[in-house]
Amino acid sequence: MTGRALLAATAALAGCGGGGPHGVGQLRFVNRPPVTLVNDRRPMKPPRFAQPGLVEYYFQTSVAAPAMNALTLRRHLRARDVNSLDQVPDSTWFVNRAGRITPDQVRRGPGRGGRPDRSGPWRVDGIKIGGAAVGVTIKDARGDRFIIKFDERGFPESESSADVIVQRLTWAFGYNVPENDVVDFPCDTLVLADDAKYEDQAGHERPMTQADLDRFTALVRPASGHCRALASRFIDGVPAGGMMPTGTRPGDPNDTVPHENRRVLRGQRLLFSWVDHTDVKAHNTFSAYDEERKHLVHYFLDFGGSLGVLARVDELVYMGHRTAWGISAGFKSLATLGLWVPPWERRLPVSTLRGVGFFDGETYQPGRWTPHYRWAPFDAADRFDDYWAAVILLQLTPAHVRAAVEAGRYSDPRATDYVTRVLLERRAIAARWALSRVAPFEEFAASGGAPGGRFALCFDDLWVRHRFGRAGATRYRAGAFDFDGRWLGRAAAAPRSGSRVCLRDLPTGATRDDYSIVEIAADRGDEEVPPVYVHLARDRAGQLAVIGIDRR
Amino acid sequence: MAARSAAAQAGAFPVSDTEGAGSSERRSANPVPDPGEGESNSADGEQPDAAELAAAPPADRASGHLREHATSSSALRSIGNALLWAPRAIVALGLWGPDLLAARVDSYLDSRGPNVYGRGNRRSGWTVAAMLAWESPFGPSAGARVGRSLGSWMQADVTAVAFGRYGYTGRLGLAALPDGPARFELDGEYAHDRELVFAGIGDHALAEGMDLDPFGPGPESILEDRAASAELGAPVELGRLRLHPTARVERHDLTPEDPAAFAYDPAALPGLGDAFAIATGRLDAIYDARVVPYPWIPRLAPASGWRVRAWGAYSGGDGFATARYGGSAERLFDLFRGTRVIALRARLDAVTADRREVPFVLLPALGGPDHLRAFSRGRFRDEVATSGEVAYEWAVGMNARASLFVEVGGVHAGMDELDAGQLHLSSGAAFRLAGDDANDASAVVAGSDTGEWSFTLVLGGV
Repeated sequence: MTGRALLAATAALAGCGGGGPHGVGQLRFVNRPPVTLVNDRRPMKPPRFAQPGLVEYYFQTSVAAPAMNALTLRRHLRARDVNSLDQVPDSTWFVNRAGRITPDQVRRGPGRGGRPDRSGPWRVDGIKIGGAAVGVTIKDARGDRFIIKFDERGFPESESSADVIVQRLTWAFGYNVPENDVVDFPCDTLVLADDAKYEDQAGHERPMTQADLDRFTALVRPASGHCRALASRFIDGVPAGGMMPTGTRPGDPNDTVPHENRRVLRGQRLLFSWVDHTDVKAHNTFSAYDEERKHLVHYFLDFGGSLGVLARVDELVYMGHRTAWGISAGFKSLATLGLWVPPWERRLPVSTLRGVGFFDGETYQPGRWTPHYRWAPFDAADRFDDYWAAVILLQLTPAHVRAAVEAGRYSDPRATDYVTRVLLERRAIAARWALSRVAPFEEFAASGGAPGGRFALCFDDLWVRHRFGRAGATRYRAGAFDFDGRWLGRAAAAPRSGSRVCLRDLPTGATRDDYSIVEIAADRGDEEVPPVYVHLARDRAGQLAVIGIDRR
Repeated sequence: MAARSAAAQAGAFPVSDTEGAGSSERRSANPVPDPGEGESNSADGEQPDAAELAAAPPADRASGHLREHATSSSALRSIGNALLWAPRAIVALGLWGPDLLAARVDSYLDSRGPNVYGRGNRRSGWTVAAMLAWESPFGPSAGARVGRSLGSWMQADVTAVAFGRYGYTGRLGLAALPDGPARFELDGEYAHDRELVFAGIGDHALAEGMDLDPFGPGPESILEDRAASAELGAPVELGRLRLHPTARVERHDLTPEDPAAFAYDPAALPGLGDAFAIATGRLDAIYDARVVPYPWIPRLAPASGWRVRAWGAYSGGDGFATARYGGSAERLFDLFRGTRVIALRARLDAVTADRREVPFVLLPALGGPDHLRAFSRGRFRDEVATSGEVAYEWAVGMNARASLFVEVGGVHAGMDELDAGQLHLSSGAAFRLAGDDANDASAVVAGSDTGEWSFTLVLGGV
């Protein structure tokens, strides 16, 4: 039995990895169109800012939570914030924009963009608080506020470019992100604002002096007097703190799904593994209270360490391959007397291109990728979350990816080419891996099926469409059942070309709006694809429509 | 909301082609509005209208499940969780304190001000290091060092180490670090050591019959050494060559703790009885051509090339004078990417004077955590000490290294009396966790041809 067949059998029989029971099972859907928008915008009181310090956060997420989890028996739960098609509806967390957005829009980025107005000086009114990068807060001539973050000395164009590239891709994927851009400006554009404050993280403040600003700018000012930095527009709304990896936010009636059970967070595992955004933590998320609409909006931010930049700047070449602790890898090295070669040792830091981090496709293994510190939604993520993300990734074309990389404004065109190429390589690796673990069938449509008659169920096999396997090598089998799970009939297909598959002559159920369940199984040579159960019923227009998808 | 509706038709997840061709037209049927320069790009256009929002369910009710799959019985899980309640409560209680401490650390760090210096640019005038160690057969010791920058090129530090029941030492160091290849170091130290004296002189001839079990009670021949010293050094870096001249004066007052029970013949241990002083001038020359072929794992650890050291010194005091000299060589062979290394090391130390004419503390010695590690410190002592080592070292993560080693070494009555029969064998394993500062950790376990063995654990470093 091959590995994939074993996976399918195991998932089907035991329900491991989030799969359900074998056969049609008990799951049934309400006969209604799939939900495309959830209401998580109900008015709420302004929340209290809540976010632990980093030391406490790392203790809680890396020590306390794993210890308590080890002493608690839990059943794996599949994502709870999905609709009947196992997709994520639009919300304050996520918007399904990937299939609609154009490369030009990706290049431009969200909202108004992150470039401060250049018609006047940029008045520095404070120092950026938190994080490792050097930065200031400014007001431009229009009165808009930005954070200006500089690249680490010795690593020009690294964090600023990586941040903008991944910010664009994360936004295109569907998440809310701040409005960021790379800016080049004469360093003298930064002048001290009259009301500038020097505030520490504990909230103590004093007036900021010219000496403070001079001391600061001396750290980042190149000999040319021309500065390059990341400009990030202040997010609208009142900061409420980041999202904790587990549970819900106290006092938020809209936060009805524990974060570890949110597809919108679990699915990020594949997205962030693709771009190697290892610095995933509550402090790199941001919930802002919209004072006008009186609800929270959730953002993801601080991507400067992705694309292997953090690995390069902090000289932590293992990033993405193991967590900061690396205990199991250490034991493996120790026990094998060094004969075991960790994958990151094969990660040749070959790229000396300006701004480019330790970013490659050769050592990328999406199933083994890990953020620098544990993030509970990723621990809870299953193959269905990865699949959801992979389908969206595949909607971002090479043109989108190229546009995002161009927004990073590397001065060396070879850097743009390199990062684009590696992103596309990694996208193919990630998608192939995720699509191989479920039935990667999409765009289901039923035709025919008059009452008491027979219908055809057609769908696209993404595995074939995206050329991970050749057309004609897959045989598809379908079994039809009614609402009560009674066997109705079967169909089969083995198209010789193309990715579109139609299973014809399937009988409909006779009860509950002709509720029908079609079990689709497929094998690719000697590899069995895990089954998918497509639920159909007649809509108000009398047409047989897909009302739910149950992947196993 | 046409775009949202179109994207959400049942099963109609519009998926583009991997190659990007042919699908953009289909995708752009409902594009996000593309604004002009300076206008908002889609953010407002994605706001749902009120009617649509009113009809939308909350996120936890979006699945449209009429009925869920039957799940396996949770009875066993409930019983298991009930049984685990007590351990969970104990662990939760144990985590409570560290959690509070972590919060306090955060508060402290917050009060240190914003990060205006960026990564790697933080400056602090103070350095603090601590050490806890256990070394057989001496047992535990603990130490601490506090350092302080004095201006831009002066540093001072104070070190104190307590060796359990075997004494203590205190050190005051001053270092001047002017711009340029040279630095100047002035150290003053006072130590009151109660040393377990194994060796006397030679190949332990005077200690025969003693119990040398490292975990046993050990020999109780203890010397008390009240020593004070001052040393001025001026190391100079000249590329790969490092010259380190030092001038040192020291005073020792060596007396047996219990003369009646002292195992050795005081006549065989010159320097025993009256206090004496030693003045030493010394020059070390180190040529380090080792290279770091792969600077990332482990951090900055050389993995190939040569390192050669030669030194010469002249020491004199009341009624004695001797030249001392020595050298060592190290050759590293990189087996794989700088993370698997074979190391060959050889060392020789000698004095020119007769062993009966100089204080025995000046004689070359073997044993302890650096050379011939299976044996205790000062286990062998004579006019000449030679040793060699073959080690296989490999990286364990980014900041740790493990090694397996085999050493041979022995002491000899003179350069013309080098005798392979005097050599002893020591082999074992070592593990070193190397942080970015002095706060390392290391462990060494080694056994010998005589059956003696040792274990050393050091946490931190001073």
